[in-house]
Amino acid sequence: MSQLEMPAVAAGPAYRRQNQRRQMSDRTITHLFIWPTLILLILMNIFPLFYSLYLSFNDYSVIANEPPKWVALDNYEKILTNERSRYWHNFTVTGKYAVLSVGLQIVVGFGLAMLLKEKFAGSGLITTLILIPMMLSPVVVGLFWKLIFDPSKGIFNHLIYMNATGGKEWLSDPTLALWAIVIVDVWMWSPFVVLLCLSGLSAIPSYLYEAAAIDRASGWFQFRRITLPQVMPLLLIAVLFRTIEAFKQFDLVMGLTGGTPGDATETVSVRLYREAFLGKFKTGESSALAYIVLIIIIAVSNLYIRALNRTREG
Amino acid sequence: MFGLDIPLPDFWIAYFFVFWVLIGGTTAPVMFRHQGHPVWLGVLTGGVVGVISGVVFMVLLTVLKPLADVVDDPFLGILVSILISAVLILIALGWLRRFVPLARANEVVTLAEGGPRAPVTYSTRVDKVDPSWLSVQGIRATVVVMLAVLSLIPVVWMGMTAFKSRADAVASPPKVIFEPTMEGFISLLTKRRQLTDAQIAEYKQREDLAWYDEVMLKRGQAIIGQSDYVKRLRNSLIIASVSTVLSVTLGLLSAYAFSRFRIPGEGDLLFFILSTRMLPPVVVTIPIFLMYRELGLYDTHIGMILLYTAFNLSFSVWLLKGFIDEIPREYEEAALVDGYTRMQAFRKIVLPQAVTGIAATTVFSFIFAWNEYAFALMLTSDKARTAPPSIPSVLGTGGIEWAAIAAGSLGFLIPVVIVTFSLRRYLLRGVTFGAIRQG
Amino acid sequence: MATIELQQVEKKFGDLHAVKPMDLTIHDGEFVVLLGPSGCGKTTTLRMISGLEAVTGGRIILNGRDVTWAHPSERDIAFVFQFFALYSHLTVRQNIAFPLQAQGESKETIRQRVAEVARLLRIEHVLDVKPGSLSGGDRQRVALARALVRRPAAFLMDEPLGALDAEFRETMRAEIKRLHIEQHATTVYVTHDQIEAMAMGDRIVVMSDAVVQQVGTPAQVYHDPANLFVAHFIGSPGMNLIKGRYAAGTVHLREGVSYPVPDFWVSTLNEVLKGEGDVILGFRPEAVTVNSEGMPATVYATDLHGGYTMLHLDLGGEEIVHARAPRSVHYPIGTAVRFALEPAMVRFFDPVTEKAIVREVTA
Repeated sequence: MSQLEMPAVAAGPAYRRQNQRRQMSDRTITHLFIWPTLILLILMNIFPLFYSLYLSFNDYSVIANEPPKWVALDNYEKILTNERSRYWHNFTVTGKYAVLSVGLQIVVGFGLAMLLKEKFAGSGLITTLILIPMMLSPVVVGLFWKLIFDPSKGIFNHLIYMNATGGKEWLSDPTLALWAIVIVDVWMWSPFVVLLCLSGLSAIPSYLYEAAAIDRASGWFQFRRITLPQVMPLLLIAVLFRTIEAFKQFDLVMGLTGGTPGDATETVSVRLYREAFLGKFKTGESSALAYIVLIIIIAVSNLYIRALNRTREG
Repeated sequence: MFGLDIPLPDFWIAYFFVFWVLIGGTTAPVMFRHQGHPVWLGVLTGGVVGVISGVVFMVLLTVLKPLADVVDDPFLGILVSILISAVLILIALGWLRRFVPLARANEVVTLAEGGPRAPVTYSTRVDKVDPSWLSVQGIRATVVVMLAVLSLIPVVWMGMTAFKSRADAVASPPKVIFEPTMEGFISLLTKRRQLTDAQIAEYKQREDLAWYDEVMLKRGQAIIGQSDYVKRLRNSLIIASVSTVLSVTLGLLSAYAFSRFRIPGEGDLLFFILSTRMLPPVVVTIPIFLMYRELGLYDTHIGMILLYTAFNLSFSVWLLKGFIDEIPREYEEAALVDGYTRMQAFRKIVLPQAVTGIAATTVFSFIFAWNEYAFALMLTSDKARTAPPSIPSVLGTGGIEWAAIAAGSLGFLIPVVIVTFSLRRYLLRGVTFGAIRQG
Repeated sequence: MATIELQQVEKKFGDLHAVKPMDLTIHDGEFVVLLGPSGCGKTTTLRMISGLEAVTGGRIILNGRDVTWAHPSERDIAFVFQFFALYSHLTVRQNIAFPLQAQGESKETIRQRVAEVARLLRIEHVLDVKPGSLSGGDRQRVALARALVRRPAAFLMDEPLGALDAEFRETMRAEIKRLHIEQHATTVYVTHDQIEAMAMGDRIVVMSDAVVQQVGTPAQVYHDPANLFVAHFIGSPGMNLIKGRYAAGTVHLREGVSYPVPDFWVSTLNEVLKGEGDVILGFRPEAVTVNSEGMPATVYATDLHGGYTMLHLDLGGEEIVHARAPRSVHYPIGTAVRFALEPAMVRFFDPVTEKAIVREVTA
């Protein structure tokens, strides 16, 4: 644009020559700058996505020496209706886990953020310490919690009960195992909610509370009418992020239980991994499963984003 | 303690004593200051009151012990009695507060009745200098500190386990006090051979043993080389660093273009870039697996680097765009008017100003690649396998080597913890893709 | 309605004085403006009256009751904030009704009083929308309505027009003044805008550097500033202040330029300066008349205003004198002129204490 002529006028002829040699138009630069990114993303994300869609309509296994066979919607039908393959079980587990862990994370995270709202000496350090768990590798976290949950050698039971004898077998009891995963997930990701809530809380202008103090508003009113509405959008973002992550949950489960006992903690992602990469390598069927997960994630995200827009308008 | 049968493990007894001392130490000085006494007197009294509260708390817990039978669950019973005792003691402390006498006025007090004796020399609301409000703040801070301590137990426990011997790591009940050893680290990083008694005796004669050989000899093992884990760590390092450099470089270019130029369908493109990050890894792994197998990229460094680069790109574009958006355009426009080309302006103006953003993005991208597990598990087997999928498989001869696993985890976590501290200002941006900015 | 009394009220932030001990009595029904440059302590003073800031020392008496340590809500005051402070998730009606609900008034009373203040402030048509969709002026009306509806003993306003556009500001200024006259409510109003202060205040408290410089009616503050700060700060431009030396009924401004002191000042100056001494001569631009026999000066610059011209006259030293001249006369830059001063509008200041020299009125 304007810089094409401007410098040439300002500077001498020598500068102009040098300039013309080097000058690229903004258009060229734009293309040069964004295409490498787009190409890589298309190659590594979009192409696999379509390939996967194609595979999901085929009967195919990577270890069989047969080409993919078109079976239309058979794979989907099998997953959604076949009782014996127990896919619904994986969805139930994932759903239960998602609801429990996201719900608890919101409660714990928001509670902690409310406690941390007013600064005190050392609150910065404490906040950072609290945030450490979410930066850790989920599979490693899963692993060492496995030791912590161990009924006789672990500290969890020793901290909760007087001694090991009264303790529970956290990882080998089907109901407790899911709770164990929820506990670890809450431990790991409540800090994320804390972080979001704190940024929301610190953005509330103090004069709102001052006006409330003069108006004789009760603490409950201040919480309901000032704090909550102002933090709501961030809480919803936290729920959105955490729900998507819950449906993607793989690392932590693999580290902690690997889906055991039986298939009590087998989330959809773990099942998917088993179908696609272990045993019979059911590539086609697992692609269909992957697509169902994808559709659920998109649907859930859309619901949240709508709710988010509603709170922002209101 | 005191001949009481306290229904709590030692840890919790210590924990609650610290809690009550902190409560006393934070609330009593408030009242003492308000009544015009020196703060140290308050802290001292608070400490004493805290210890007494702790003792009373334990007595109350013992008294309330039958409650556990009523609710028919030992855990719930203790929880309820803890809550009841704590509330009782807090009420008592609140009542006792009134007996702190007013200090004799040693100067002319111009203050009105009911106010604090110590002048308020900071900005605060009238109701927030009230001792009851300040006491609640003290209690609130104490609760936060104690919760933070609780939440750090797993990390601390892992750190401790890393320095335990194989036997101590799996001791039942768990050992809090133990003799630290480097066994875990050594067995993580080495291949060993079990020795017979005769061989052990022979080894003991040798003079050329390094300290780590000595350590393992106590276990009756001789080190015969590096373990695979060393190789995995090296792979992790290579793959994470190269992919980070690539994704930050590409991300920076795109972020600059998105931030400064008008691009048709910009919003849609950016959303597309973000959405790639929302895909569950398992959804794309199957086709990528097939693709890699065809192209010979399965279990190769290049394959993993490309994959991680692609997955980090969305993140780095979004984060960096946020940072670049904050650099005023006027700087570059001034440079353009002065005769610099767009590229020169980018290099000399934008890059230096975006340095913090680039640093934050680099570190977050690195941590993602460093922590990543799912892709590595499914797309590598040996040659390019990274550390996360191999930590679980560090198995010893007699079952799982917890000390070694803890050592591996600890070595793995330390860089992450350091980074968390150094980047705490950017943490919020980092975990929300720059969608939310922090003051 | 109420009187507000500040006794030795002070505020420190660490070692820094935000407000040095001050005494001030605000009478029932009075409209008092706290005026001063930013950081002078005026907002802190207002916040201390409301209880939003705890005092470091002194007492605050409201209607004879010591409220120094009373909770903001126990003081029976209303506070109007610069940024409105409306509850964005309540409708305008709910916002206005809120303080009444908190006081536990009956539904019928609330309905009646809300309708009343809505009529008074002409916001009946927006009662059922949320504040987010209102203009700045309407939001401030709602905020005023919320303050009025409680019928508090006193209104405290912290730059309530500061966040408004110039257009709304004029309208709202008139509206607040009208409200005050109708309601006759004790009001303390903080602003940094002296035009606002002059237009609205019954009395003005001029503050600077944490200290009250002068308390007086707008006319007093304008014509009889207590010290150099007030003289300079009030008016735009402020008072002309020229250093000189007084001796024998004349102020020597510089070589060859001297000002013969009006007769009624001579005895005072003789007495205060003990015959001779340094003095600062002060006069407002409108006290200057350009003529042919006064003090000599050259035109340095001219600003054309709507109804008049502001001349910048160079006295030859560093001093520039602002003079108001009729718009019809044109003075090119560099013109040599002479000017005289209206004797009744001349003031003198002590250059050391910076205080005004007060003329004894002899019968």
